[in-house]
Amino acid sequence: MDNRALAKISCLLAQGFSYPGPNNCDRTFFATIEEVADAVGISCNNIYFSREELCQAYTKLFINEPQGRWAPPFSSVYLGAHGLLMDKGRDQAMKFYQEAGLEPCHSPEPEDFLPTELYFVAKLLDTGKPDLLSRFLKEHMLKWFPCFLRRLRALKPHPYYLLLAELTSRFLNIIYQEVIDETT
Amino acid sequence: MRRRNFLKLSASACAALAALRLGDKDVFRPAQAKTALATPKLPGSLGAKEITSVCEMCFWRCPIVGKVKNGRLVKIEGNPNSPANGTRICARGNSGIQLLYDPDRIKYPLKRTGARGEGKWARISWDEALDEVAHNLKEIKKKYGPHALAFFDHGASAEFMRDIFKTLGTENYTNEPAFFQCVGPAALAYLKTYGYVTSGTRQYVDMKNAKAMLFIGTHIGENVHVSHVKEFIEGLQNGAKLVVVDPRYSAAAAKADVYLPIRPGTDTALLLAWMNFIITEGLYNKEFVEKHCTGFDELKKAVKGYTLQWASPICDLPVKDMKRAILLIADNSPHVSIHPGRHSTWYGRGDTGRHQALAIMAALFGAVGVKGGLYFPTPIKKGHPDFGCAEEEPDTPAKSISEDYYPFASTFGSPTSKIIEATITGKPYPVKLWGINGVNIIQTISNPYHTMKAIKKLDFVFCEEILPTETAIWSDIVLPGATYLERYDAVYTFDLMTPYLTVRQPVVAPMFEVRSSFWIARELAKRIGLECFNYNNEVEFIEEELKGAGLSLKELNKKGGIISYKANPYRSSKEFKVATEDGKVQLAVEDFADEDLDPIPKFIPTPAPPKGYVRLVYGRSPVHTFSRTMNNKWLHNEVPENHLWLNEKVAELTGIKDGEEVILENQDGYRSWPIKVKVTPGIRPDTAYMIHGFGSRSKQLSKAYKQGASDQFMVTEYEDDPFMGASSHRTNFIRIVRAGKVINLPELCPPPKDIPRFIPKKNRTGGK
Repeated sequence: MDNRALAKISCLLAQGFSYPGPNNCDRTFFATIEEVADAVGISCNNIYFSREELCQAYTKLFINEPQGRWAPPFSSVYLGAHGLLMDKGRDQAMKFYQEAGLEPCHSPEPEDFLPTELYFVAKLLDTGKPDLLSRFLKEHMLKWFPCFLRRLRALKPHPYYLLLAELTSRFLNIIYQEVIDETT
Repeated sequence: MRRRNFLKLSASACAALAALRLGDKDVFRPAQAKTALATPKLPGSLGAKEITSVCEMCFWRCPIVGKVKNGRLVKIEGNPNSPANGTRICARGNSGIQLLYDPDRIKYPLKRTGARGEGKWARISWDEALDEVAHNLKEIKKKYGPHALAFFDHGASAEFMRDIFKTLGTENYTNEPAFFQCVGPAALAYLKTYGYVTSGTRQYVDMKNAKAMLFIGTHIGENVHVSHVKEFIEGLQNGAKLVVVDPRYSAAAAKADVYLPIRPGTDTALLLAWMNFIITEGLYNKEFVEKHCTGFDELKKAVKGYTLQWASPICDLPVKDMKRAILLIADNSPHVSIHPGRHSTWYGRGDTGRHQALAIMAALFGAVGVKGGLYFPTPIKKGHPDFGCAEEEPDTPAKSISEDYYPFASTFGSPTSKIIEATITGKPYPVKLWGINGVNIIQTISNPYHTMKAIKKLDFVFCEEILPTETAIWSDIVLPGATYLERYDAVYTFDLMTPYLTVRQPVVAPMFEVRSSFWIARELAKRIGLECFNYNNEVEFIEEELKGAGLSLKELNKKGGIISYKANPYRSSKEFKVATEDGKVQLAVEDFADEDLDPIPKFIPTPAPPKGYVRLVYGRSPVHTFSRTMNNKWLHNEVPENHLWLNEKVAELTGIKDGEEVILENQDGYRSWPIKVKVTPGIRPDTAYMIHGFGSRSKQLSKAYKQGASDQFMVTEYEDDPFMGASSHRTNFIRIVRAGKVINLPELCPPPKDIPRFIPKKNRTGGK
């Protein structure tokens, strides 16, 4: 598989972790997720959910959950000492973006939003920057994503988002192994 | 890359991937030099961009400077040009960063998807949220009339939404819990005595230049507003004497020359006895009273029977201590600060009277318009933008919530307790929609069980909120409000001893999809079809306001974001004139008499605790504001929970240990969440105390949830002030539940026969 296809998978996951809308809630999208999951050895069946159901699940898990059990999809919450937004994790992500000569376009979410970071992985794959990708994963994303995954698993979340998170974890580790091989 | 075969996708999947619109086009762009991470090597806030603004961690509005580095707010300091606080800000002011970056904050418009209060939400677009609110406002008004709409609000930013409710024609557009659950009785008492609100949001009392100060329940130091505390401390440093009257040994009491641990509910008895003493001993300022007051003879007659000897058993204070305290004040008059207090919704019936007595006492000492006394505001000129909100012809209901229950309620709005009752009973007319802005009503209004019952009866409820409070959880639509660090508000003028003009402006861009209150109100007005808010954005009307002060926003910012003015707080005897009809201080208020209310305060006994119970009182922590800051990480770290202050003798007799966790049960059988006991000699045996605002019931407030106990959830019994309808908060009693066993508390200060005992609802026959 070429880097472009891997970049596409990263974008696919980024889309999956974005709020459910017409672009990430149709049969084609779900089918592609299933295919990618299958390719990394995660079995899944019938992940066709209504947009309404996913909107509720997404809000509960990643935005505001009135019962207080949620998993903020921002690196700062896991990498900083205070569990805050816009903390160390965000600055760290910004430094990597800058090193790549990039900056996030205006977005309502902080720059360390999970989908933004996955899009950044896609950019690095697409533009062939294995050294930077290796460091971004090792020093940043693989430092916080496992914490996020643990928190998510503990919530017994909606199966779709658990699948996406497990898939993302597997994907990031595979990519990391690939770039290690590539750069050593 | 030397690719291993980890990932093998089918041809169809590859094709699908290739065909998918993956939305990566607009995520990144080439970095621009100016947005590069600035000054990365300078530590902390060094090299940060500085933006002046105004704090809103409490209502005092200290001028601040936000220090922003790489798009992130890294530090907040006081505005060094501020004559009030200078570079100083309090713990809460520092912790604004934690509010801004709290991951729990409301980020997008939310719609309830489960049962009301169940806590199921989905994110929706602003269009959908505003359309839904507008639809319900219009439909409910059409179906039930304008008064079926009610608005609960607090703070400057709620004013725009208030304009919408007002324009829609409801009488229930200003039911600020700030008045009806807090400052109302004090505000009314001073308004009627002096013609201006000497004690409202702020208190016009010159502590810095006082030779003596009198605090009745005021606990400055625990209740922190920077310039206010600064003036108090400066006064003490200058040698001022201090008398503190409080059933609890507060931070202020610890600095007192005379501390009077009064029986709760008897403050007016003490004040009346003091007034009688001042008059009979000739200690009052005869010249001031003669020239500048009306009603002295009536006052003299009215207080005649109230002697120190009479007050002693009622107040549970020795005559010699009461005498010593008042002589200390008299000896230093007229340069004495008779602090007007602020939170005054204590016991219902006597609340306005108690603050009226304080107002009268200041006048008896001539402590008005002189150094150390009550002083006059210094008005600051600014422009008044015309928002163009057209009021509909008032449609006065047959029976009005605002006007027909309490004669002076309409000065402030509609009493919250009456709106809640109307929502539950449909009388005097149905209330079917609530809008809420800037106030967590469930942790603020007496009897939250009543409030929740009312919410269940509503056709629609929406709120603008920053954090997912209990109120947000009960709402059908939640509109994410911007914090004070992300928005403009109006121009602020400070008319106290250090007058200034400043403006709140955004320090950072709004996060997520939060919006300013002005934007929300303007968009909503458009959808309702109201001709409201003639300005496109806040800057336009701020410029209009500044124009009236001969400034522009650019000029103001060039001058450090703040302009100071010379204060004009004092008056010579010749100049002296207050804002009442005849320009004189009203020692007897005719307006009250006209409504068959006492023109001069009387002692109205507040029922004593039932056997086995002690009275629950509450106060503030210097690092928290109401129930608003408990989820703030830094502040939570400092004071994570409240404790129940219990008298050491009561603890000894019941075997309750310091630090032990107990549950409280009030007179109506409602139980609290667990709270640790602080055993102390610093509280009377008939009283228990806790800091207000803890014991959050919102699980979404991840740090505040279930931390300590909520005093508010123990307040199930309240009485309305008969003057203006404010609800009492200190008319509830608790006993202790330990390991499932109820412990009745011993009575060590039995009330005298003049004070009746409280009868709990369950034991009452007939009546309320």
